[in-house]
Amino acid sequence: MSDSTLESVRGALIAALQGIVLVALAPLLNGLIRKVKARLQRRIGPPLLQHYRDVAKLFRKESIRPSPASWIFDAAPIVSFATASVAAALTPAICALPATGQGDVVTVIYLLALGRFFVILAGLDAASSFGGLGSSRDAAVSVFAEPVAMLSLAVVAAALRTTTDVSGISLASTDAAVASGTSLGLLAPWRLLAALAFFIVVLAECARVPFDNPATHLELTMVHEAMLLEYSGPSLALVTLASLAKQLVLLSIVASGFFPVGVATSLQPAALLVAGAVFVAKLAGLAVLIAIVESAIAKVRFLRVPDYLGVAFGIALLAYVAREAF
Amino acid sequence: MLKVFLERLRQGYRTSAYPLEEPKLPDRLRGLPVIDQAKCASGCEAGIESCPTSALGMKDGKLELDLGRCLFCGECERTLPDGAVRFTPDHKLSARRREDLVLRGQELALAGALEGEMHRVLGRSLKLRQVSAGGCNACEADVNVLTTIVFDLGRFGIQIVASPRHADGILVTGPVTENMKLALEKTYAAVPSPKVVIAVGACAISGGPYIGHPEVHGGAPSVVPVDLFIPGCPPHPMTILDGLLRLMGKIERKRAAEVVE
Amino acid sequence: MSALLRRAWARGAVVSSAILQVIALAVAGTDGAFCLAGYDAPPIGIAHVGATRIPGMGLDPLGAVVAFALALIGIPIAIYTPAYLAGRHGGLSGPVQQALLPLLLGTILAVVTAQNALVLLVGWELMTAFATFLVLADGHQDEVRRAAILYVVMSHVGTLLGMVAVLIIASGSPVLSFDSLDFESLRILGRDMGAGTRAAVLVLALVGFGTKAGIVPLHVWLPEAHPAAPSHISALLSGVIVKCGIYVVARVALDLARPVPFWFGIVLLGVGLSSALLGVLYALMEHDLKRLLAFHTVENVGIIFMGIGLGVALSQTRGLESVASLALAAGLFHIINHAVFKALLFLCAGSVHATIHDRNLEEMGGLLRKMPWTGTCFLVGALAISGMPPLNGFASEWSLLQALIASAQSSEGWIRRLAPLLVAGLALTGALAAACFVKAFGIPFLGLPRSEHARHAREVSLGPRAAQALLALACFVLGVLSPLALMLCARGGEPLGILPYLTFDSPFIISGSKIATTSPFVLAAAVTAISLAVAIATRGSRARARVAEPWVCGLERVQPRMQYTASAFTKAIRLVFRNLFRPSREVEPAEGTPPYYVRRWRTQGMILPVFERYLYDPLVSAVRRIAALMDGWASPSTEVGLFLTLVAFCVALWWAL
Repeated sequence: MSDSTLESVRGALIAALQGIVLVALAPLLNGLIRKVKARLQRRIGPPLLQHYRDVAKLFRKESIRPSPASWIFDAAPIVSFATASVAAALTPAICALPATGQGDVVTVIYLLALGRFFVILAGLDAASSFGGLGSSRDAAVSVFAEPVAMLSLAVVAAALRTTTDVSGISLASTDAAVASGTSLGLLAPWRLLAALAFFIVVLAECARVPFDNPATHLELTMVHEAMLLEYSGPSLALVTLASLAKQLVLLSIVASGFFPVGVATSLQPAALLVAGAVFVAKLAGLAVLIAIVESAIAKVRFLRVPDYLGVAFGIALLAYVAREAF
Repeated sequence: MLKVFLERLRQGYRTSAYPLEEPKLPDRLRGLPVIDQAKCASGCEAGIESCPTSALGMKDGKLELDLGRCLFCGECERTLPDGAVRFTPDHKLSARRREDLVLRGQELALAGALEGEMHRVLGRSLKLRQVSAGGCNACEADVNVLTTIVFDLGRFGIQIVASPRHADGILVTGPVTENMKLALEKTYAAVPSPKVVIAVGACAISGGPYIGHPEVHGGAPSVVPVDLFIPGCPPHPMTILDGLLRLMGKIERKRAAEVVE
Repeated sequence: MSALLRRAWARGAVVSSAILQVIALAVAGTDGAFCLAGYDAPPIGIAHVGATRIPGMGLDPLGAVVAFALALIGIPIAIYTPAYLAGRHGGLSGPVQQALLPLLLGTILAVVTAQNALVLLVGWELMTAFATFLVLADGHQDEVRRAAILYVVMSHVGTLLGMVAVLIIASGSPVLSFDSLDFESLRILGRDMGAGTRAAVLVLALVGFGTKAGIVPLHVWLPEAHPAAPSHISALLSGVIVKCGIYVVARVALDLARPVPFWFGIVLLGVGLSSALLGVLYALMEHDLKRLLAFHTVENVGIIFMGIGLGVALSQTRGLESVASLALAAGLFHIINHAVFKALLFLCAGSVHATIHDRNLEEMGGLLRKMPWTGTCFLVGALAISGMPPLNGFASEWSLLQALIASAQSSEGWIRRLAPLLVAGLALTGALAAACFVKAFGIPFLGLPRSEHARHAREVSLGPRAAQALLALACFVLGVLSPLALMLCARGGEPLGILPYLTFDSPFIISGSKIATTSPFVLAAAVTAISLAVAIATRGSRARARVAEPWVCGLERVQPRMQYTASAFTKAIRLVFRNLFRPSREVEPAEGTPPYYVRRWRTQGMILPVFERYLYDPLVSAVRRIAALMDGWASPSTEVGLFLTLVAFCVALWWAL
């Protein structure tokens, strides 16, 4: 085998490993968010591992198919899980190697969009009003979230004079930090603003307050969950895992895409260990942040969702301008 | 906002330690009634009539009290010979079988955990869909309050969900009125198995004050198979919590790690 | 007996004509592919036989892109048509239609292979004429005729302007002959034009030929003509004829009138972005499946113009040559891609129309279970047009997005200023398109049938199914092989002076120093592998699944009218863009109900057609007023009219002295 083949095989293995680890950890991250949220409300809250128990239970339960449904209903959980897993393998997380050809962040967003496309269709497939309601709302949220996501990623690539490749962003950040002799570049205004815009998008995409309430029981106020009301058993487990994985993927873009500090650029075990620890710390920080946001503000009326995302768009645009100024 | 968060952090947890510690409930709470057959020697028939739901009865010369019908109104305490029926503040009332709820002076056979496969599947995660089949909103309010900070149902892996497809069972309140019968049947059918049915409150167990009413079907057991009965009118939230935990098998094994993680 | 013979004869003519079409298009496609790949031309091609070239014609990489797109969709259309013609009533007879179709295909090929302005314009006019006949093929209802007239009028006015653009270039020549209208001579003349003249040529060409391409606000004919035409003709209209508009704009403005100033690139970007956004926004509000698809053509033409415009603008800044090439390649690749998935969608829409005789989304529903082949193919088309990986639409949209992101590093201030808006605009377009196609697939194909017709829908016969499957396969193959396709399409920039700096190491991976990395092939493989593994792991639970009524909160049973409608689905978006749509709603008691106890209501929602109301209506009424004025003034006698004509002629000659 030639060197380049070896390199790409190694890259594929690393990506696959990352995908498996991230998907496996995704329920834990949400458990942490719920735990912190509960603490802020002076509750004990669900156990950290509750999501794993829920999923394990669902795999042992019966599946129910709504009578009007077509094959889309069966395919959607599988496709959304598969796309989220592949996205987890490609997203910036612990290491960034120029040779692995991990791909770029825009592709990750597109992959998640594919999964979402199927889930939205599944919402319409069961012929119930709730599914249509959820699908319609989810489609509308994605319409306004997507441009902000792309723009804030474009800001990073433009500011670092690189592409949206995971390795490009990470390497350029470390180079810049090294060259200037300081890591201040990591806290440059454009970076903070772009990350903030993207963070708002994450809240919207992951059906979190103020865009949606993950804890609501009322169908009429739901966005994301309303699409999934017909799912049960293993299918429900798959879509749940897929949305949890998607949340982790998007948060790790914030953690390692916008702030690639500590991302390993070699495969030495020590470097990977440190990078892993830093990554976990960053994610935990983001989980706390989400919990605080969810405890501090209320869910908004659905028709005000575009306003929030409009603000996020403004922030991203400001980041683009700030990149020139600072 | 920051002040609020800091104050909350200072206050620490406000969730009750139940079931590790017994809850502090007021003495005046009418919980588990205790029957003293000896006190009935002088004749209880007259007092029985005072029960608005005919929960009291005489069988083979013994006084019996059906917790499934009892409204915990305390009328019998007044009309029966002193001490024949005495309500204690004990909140633990739930039972797995309908006949266990009929007290004749024996100790109440409290609900046991789900068996075998059911317990393996549902023992650590239980999602419930609430069906108010003509309820007056008292039981519903006491179920609702379980999700608040003191009771914090979520810490046991129990959650009230919107869709019966996501649920592992239904929690029924209300006497099952004619108009809600179909809805109850459909909700039960909509839950993927294995599944449980929990009847909360006298109405859901037996019809309560509406027993025999032509527009009422006499509680959940007339429509669906019930796995857990939680008496009361309405039951105290602790009673409901106790019942749910017993069903999941989290009470017998009072290991700290099992309960609070 | 003779009737039977006649029918057999007609059927035989239709089928053999289809076979000949397939062969001819295969030749054209091979020629186009060879030309893009840089191989020697095959023995028989579009504009040559052996070494003998047809005078005034020849294939270059730019034309080859469109020729290839034509072959790619023309062959499935030829397979689709016979069954379609057999199953219809009224309108032009099958053999006549089948005779017109090759003529139309021939004129399209003449347009894209023309190397002479006269050939180009003659081919262009013939193409319009044959297209009009075929738009009229399905009947002579008023709306069809109105659509055809609108198409002809707009196309002709556009051609007039475009012709002026060509003649302005040619006016530099001392003599006017067939040879002086050769592209070679026109290029030499074009090089010496003054800045003002060049600007006039560019704008005239864009407006004139852009009318056929359907750029906003010249798009109004498109959503009228497409639904009126039979579906395979709509597929051809959207897939290739509209692209001929783009091709001729590129040919006249970007090739003949070279060097193109920087600002024209920006103009193209602006035109592209506004067409893309407005096209998709109006598509979202449509309930007529074919009108919806037509508006999406406007959107995709916008995306193509964005790619070409960015290529033109970036090719003039140093250091971003590979990005310029990527942008142009993305635009040209999107010509092929859009042709393929739009043809696929139109053919599927035609299959649906053939069985339920309705184009209204609100009357459909549940069709995927009745028409699994057509439904699945429509889904592939919907995914492709929404830019979902790993299909072809993803490849071109992603490439364009990457080129836009990279252009933020340009040294040109205007590109840097516009880049964020273009990135966000393209992303918004993509997201809106996805929302629209969730609707366009979900409402008609999923859920419960909303009408009696939909309940009795039947799958189409083998020919149409095969045609649709071929196009769906093409969406997939073009996506997986997109790096190769992009490299080939980049060569289409050669005639425009945007040199193909695009080289990828592998036909499966897009990657470069200024270009991010992606591989639809790897994505497809990974997603498929995981999906299969999960599907196999969970097959037991699906097999044991219990079928139950959908959960409707304990109501007696689910009703089709409980489902979300197409207009309800897009309500949130309609409200957000209310300043554009100006939605209005009328709610009144249905006829025949007592006013005090209303059991049934009639509601009607509508949006304001902004361009028709504020641009075309005033224009038409102004023309009418002037015509009326002149009518009263000039019509007393034929002689006066003749006299005025002679005066005008003399003035023109005097001007030329």
